[in-house]
Amino acid sequence: MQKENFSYDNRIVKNFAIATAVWGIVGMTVGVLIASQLFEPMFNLGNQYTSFGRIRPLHTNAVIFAFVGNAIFMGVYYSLQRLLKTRMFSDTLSKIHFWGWQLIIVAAAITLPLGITTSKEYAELEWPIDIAITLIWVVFGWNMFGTILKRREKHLYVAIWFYIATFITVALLHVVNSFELPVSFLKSYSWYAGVQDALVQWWYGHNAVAFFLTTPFLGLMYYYMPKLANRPIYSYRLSILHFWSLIFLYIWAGPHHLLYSSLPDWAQTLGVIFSIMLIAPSWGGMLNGLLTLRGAWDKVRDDARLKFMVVGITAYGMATFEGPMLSLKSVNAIAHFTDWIVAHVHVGALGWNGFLTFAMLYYIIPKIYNTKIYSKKMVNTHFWIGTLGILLYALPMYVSGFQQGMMWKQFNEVGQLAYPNFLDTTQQILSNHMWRALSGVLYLSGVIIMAVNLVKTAKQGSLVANEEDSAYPMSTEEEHGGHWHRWIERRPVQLLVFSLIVVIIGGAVEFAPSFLVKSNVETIPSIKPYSPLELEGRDIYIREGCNNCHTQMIRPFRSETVRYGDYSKSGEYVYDHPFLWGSKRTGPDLGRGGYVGENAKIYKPANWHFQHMFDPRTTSPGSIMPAYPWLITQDLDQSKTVRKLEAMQTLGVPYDEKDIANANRDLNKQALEIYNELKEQKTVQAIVLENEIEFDENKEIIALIAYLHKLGRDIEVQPKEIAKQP
Amino acid sequence: MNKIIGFVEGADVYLVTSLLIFLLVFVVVSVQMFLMKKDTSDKMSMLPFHNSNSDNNEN
Repeated sequence: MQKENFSYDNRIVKNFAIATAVWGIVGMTVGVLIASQLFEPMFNLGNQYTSFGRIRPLHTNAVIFAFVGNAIFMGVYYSLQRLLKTRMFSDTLSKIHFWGWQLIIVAAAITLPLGITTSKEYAELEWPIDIAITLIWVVFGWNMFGTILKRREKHLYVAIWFYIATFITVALLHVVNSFELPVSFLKSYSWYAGVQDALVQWWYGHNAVAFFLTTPFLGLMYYYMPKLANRPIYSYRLSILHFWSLIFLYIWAGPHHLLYSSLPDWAQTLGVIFSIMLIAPSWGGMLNGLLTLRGAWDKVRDDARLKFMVVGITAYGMATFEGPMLSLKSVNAIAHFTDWIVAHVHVGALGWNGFLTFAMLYYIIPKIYNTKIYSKKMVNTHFWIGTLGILLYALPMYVSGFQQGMMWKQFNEVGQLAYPNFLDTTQQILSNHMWRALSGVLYLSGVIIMAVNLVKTAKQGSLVANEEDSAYPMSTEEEHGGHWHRWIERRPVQLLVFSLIVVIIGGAVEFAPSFLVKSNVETIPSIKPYSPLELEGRDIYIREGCNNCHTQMIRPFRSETVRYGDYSKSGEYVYDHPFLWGSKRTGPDLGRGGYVGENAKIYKPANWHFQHMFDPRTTSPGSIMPAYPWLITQDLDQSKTVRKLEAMQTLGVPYDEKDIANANRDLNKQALEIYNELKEQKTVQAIVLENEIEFDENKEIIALIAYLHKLGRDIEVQPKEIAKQP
Repeated sequence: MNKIIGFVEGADVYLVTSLLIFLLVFVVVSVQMFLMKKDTSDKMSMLPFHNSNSDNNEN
């Protein structure tokens, strides 16, 4: 048998490498900006396109899908060709994949600041972009499987199993979570409502971390760590156990994002159990990575790329230990909704994803340009600046989260909340937020140094666009004997199907009872659908990203019911497409914002909201909330109101034909009532006069006030019946 | 486990079955892993180093 000559496509690797660095700088710059907004509102820059609620999703999407996404593709395209001893299946598909993905990122960068969002975390992009993501992801899978099928190496190395599991599971997550009913070209409503939407969203959100930020990087670790250390992985056997345990267990853990919420207890407990079990495979993977350096730790001293690897894998170990700890209910009670979670996420993102990406870039670029790195000193500088950045990010955020979480729960000696004013707890952590922004500047500086170093490296070499290699064709002889896993390692399609079955089991078990067993979502007869004006106000709340800072989920703690009112019930959210529970309390919970009955805690009249939106500091001194003056000057778009009600009706919200036919009339009637109330108020008159605003009943602020006054309002109708429920 | 999820009719069947499936997969993979010959394991772990070109670790 003769060896065959072929070449690797390095140009596509280069393209993804450039995109990784460019989007990394963009995404992190936005990160520094939003970090600064959280101690100084001036950094919202006074316009709607750069306010926190709109560009926080831009930051998360840019760093997850643009920076990390391109890094995954760079690492996969480089390693896949070499592990399979073949060129990518199709250069055309590679190009479509690359440019399609970049166009999706550009679409996100345009739509998110415009307030075009579904509001679902890490899945904010609207339905046409969702479809584009699906198509491009299929192109990626097609190209990957085409390459696998024409390979010259019979056995699939462990890294490729992780790539396959990533492909199929991300596809599943994206499609299931993106079921939405379009209202117009760039507006849709989630197919699911309330507690079911929350369950699907956090099944997606958790597993986006698992199968976009973890499994592909584990695959990359299994390739690049041995290459950098110049020795095989510590235990191939452990990698097998690691793979199957991890993909089976991860998919179950999503409900730990919804502890103490209206999600049924059994689902919460399930999430906790599987989160704890997850420590084992996670640490198995971490130890397998680190122990690869056994007997070669001296290399770490001299090779900054290995330093990145070691700190990155250690960060993975820390984050995957902390995650299960945070899923313990007693810990979660303090940490949830605070900066602690933000710190946890960033240890994983900055350490694990960021540092592994940098190690790959420093390995790949000199290889494909057939040269050596321009400056090892700059690599070392990047490493130390980046490490310092991670530490300065995490430590103040841990302190901030713990401090604020405890302050929310603190009672004084006479049994009253020690800090009844939410802002008192905010003021205590502003210095920590400043440290966070500074750490972001440090980390970003390191990335810029890396970019300069890589450009200089590329300039001193020349791109080997088609790298020659040779290998024997794959033997067609069937191997007999051997064990079960040896069999599946040679069969990519079966491996894919088996992986899919494994991940579907966890999702199906969590979803089926929630969707099929009616008792999981209680019915509260007093809860009524949103009026047309309230629905429009809700869409403004979504557009401005208010759910990025305000929760609508009062947990059953005394500290929360005393502060906000009665705890939240699943039956309150049955008309919420999408759910808006939020995951972070930078500001107070708004779940009972419209409750005016006995023991009302946080209700504010219309003129207070008007003044607060125009300039939050006038009603709430020291607040870090952005101002929303455009809500007072912009007209409410009523052209889609009827279609919105029709869409909601399709989704099961009990609007009748009369409601839909009279939608605009009813909207204007309710708006006029709020307007008449507002125009009598001196504070409103003063703002309108001083700023020469043409204020009337058709302004967006009126719809938003209507929505805020709807929150938790209906629950007051039957306080006794509600109180009986567990 | 039954006590926690008992109030959701039928859910315990889903969960217990799934946990048994996981246990089965875990045990089978573990047994296979221990039965794997060292030669096979060594060969598989060397796959990243099989390129004939000079893909070494210099930077």
